[in-house]
Amino acid sequence: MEQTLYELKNYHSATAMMEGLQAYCIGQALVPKQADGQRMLELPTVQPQHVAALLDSSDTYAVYLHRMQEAPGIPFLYPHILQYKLIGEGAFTYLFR
Amino acid sequence: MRSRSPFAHRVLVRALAECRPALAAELAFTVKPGFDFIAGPLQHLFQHNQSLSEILKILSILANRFRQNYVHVARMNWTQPFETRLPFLEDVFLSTDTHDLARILTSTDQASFVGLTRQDIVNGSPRAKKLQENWQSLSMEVYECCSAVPEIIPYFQETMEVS
Repeated sequence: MEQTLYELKNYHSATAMMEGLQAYCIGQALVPKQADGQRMLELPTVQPQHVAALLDSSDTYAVYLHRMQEAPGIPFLYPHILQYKLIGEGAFTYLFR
Repeated sequence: MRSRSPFAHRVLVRALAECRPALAAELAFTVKPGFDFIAGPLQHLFQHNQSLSEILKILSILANRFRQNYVHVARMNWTQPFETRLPFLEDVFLSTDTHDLARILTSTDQASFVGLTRQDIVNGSPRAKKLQENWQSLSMEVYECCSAVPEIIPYFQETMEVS
């Protein structure tokens, strides 16, 4: 029985929530400056991992676009808009079936 | 002072009125801007029957929002109404558990996305823009909730996905 946003394939709200959570975690990860003036940023692995992976922007959000192709649902719009700018109408192959 | 800090201005005028009534008569008594920007929105906030625990969460989040938008800026804005809406948090309070929250969000989103066309994306239509703003608002509100009420984070994580 589908229960979570990821299982419900609601990529819109899942990624939005993850974005907010990651922004908070990044803010928490800053540690005080070292003696040499450097400020360390320890990036935590934010759970849950599959939703976090959807926000990976490498190769125009390839992880998300692949997931959307395999398990279409409510889209995370931004990668589709980016993809359209890059490759044109081909971007819509699996957004509008 | 009248424009930079209307509150302080008003306090001083009233104090002077007590001590030197004649002098106070010369000072133009400005009514605006006053506390309208914050008093009205705050009054609307408590019209629903929230529990004490919910009210405290709301106030923590709004305290941060207020500091961010009014205090930590170059110039205090006394006329911009304080935005007290927290639509996502309302859904959180309505939900019976994380699965229910996921269903509530998904049901709303399905309605928002119905009828989205290629043209919307190609043309950057108001509809497409609205959906993106919606995404931004949700992520911002989640960030605000995490910052003010970090104990809510596991609830959010479970709503997204089973860990």
